[in-house]
Amino acid sequence: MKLLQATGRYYLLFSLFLFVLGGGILYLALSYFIDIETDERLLDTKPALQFQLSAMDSLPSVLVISDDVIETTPLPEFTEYEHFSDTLVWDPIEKEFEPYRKFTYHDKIHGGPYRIALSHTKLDSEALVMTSLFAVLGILLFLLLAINLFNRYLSLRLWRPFYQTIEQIRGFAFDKGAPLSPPRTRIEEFEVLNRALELMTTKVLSDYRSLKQFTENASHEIQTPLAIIRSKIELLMQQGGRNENERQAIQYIQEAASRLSKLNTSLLLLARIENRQYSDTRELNFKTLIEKKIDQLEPLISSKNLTVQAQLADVSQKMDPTLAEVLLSNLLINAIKHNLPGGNIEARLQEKKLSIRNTGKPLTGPSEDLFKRFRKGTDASPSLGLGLAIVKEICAIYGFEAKYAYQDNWHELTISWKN
Amino acid sequence: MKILIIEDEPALASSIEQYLQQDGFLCEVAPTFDEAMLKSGAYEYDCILVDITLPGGSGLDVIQALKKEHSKAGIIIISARHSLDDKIKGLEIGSDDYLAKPFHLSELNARIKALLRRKQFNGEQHIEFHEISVLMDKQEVQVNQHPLTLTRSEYRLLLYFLANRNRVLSKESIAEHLAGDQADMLDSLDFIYSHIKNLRKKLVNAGAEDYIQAVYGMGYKFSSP
Repeated sequence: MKLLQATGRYYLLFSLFLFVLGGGILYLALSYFIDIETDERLLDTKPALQFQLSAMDSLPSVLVISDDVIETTPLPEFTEYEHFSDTLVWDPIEKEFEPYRKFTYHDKIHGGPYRIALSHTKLDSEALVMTSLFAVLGILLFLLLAINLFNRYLSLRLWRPFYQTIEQIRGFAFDKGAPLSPPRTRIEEFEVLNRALELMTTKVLSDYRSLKQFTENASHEIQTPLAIIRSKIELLMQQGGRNENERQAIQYIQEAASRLSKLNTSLLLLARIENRQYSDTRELNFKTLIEKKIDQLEPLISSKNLTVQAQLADVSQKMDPTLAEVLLSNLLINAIKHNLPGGNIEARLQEKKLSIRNTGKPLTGPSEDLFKRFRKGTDASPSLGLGLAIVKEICAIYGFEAKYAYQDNWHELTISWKN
Repeated sequence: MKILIIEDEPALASSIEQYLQQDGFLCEVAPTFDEAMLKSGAYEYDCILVDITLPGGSGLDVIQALKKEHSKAGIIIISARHSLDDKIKGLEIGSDDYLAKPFHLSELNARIKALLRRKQFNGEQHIEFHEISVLMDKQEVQVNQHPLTLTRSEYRLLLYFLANRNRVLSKESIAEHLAGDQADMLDSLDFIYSHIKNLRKKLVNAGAEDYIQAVYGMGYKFSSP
């Protein structure tokens, strides 16, 4: 539920409550004042009635004069008594009980004590109360509805900057590198929120950048000691006369150093891509690049007895040369690495689309994980699992789309772009 | 052959020096920018290895100074990997080759030899090893004067072995030499086996001795038995 709806609902409920309460109070108040009026009128009638009744020879027990009903009852002895009450009187014509205001008092007529009940119909006043009530309630209802609607409209209008801010937050991404800058607004609360967000994202981004920078610097610094280790191992390898244990130890160190070095190279590359350090955009002929890559990878292709089929259209695309090379090389190496001995590779380059297919065993894990870092084909494989993560990162920079599909023992990676 | 190693990391510089000395090169090390400028300006070298980041200045400036003096020395930049700007800049201002750190000493050795060949013999040089000779200008291999057909990978492998004869070459260095930077993305170096096997078979079949020895647990060595 939207905040607006929620508040609107509460407003409406509260309005309804006020409406009922107001109606009740109004009804009671009107009835009360009309009763007082009627009572005064009845009280005023008392002397005239006394006069009238005294003029009569005999007193009828019930006397009806237009809207008034007069009942007389003789009393054994006279006491002072005056009382007002509501009562219902049977109307033989309408065949229903009708509300009457009854004034009961004791009086002496012809010297004898009587209880006199003077009732006056309340039909007229009841109608008046209802009319006024409906009129007033109608106006009230209209007012409430109008206020509610206006409030809704006003809220929508006033909350607009809030929704604009939300929209900006949704679109916020670290790799875009720009802090949020929501538009200025007159509403203080939103303005405070917006400025806080601006400050926060600026800080978050700068922290993010320094973290990335740290990764890059660390990877960079690791290179020198690694180079030393590797060069020293190479020198050690040249010296003969070692026993098997020593040779094996050298071999292990050498392999570990080599793996570390590869890992570091990949991480550094990723960090640099993320830090947007490859921004040398040139028009590159993908056809030539792919042909060159396939040629460079020939030692790998021939050792696995793979057959490469390339259908390459003359397609050019603006890209950083290093990234293009890394992208193509990773895609091709991926197709070689996960291929079966004697398998096939098909490279198809079309306008705005490159797809590289290779034969191979089905994936063991979910295909969504394919582009994740350190995702390996099998747990035991010595692969770093960074190749496709790098592909994805490069695609992200240029807004390319990378898709994976598997069908009939063919893995297919497709890169498509729009401009 | 005189080589100047401009490298500020003493451990790395000494490794390079040791490896190259074993191949008969005369090496000198310049660990700072000033020393590099001084030595490269005062003496003649056949090859200069230049690290870009140096205490006191940039290796690129050293190269520019050398070019200004029309030095004949071959120049190889040895710099941290993926500093692409350095690579492009370095090649633009006249360095002959670029090798990213961390590199294999055997690869550096092969590059230096290839560069020296290009510089001093204009590529017209024969490499001889017993009955095997490589005619560099024709990219042809002969065994006992009979031409031998090799694939490109086998040819490069043979050259790499010949440049590093009597040295143990690790599988990694062979893989990197054959597949280039891409080797970083590979998990298995098995692809080198088939190439080594084929090269060995072709050489032996053509009448050459089996010079390729597997060094247990380390790699391969090309030497007289």
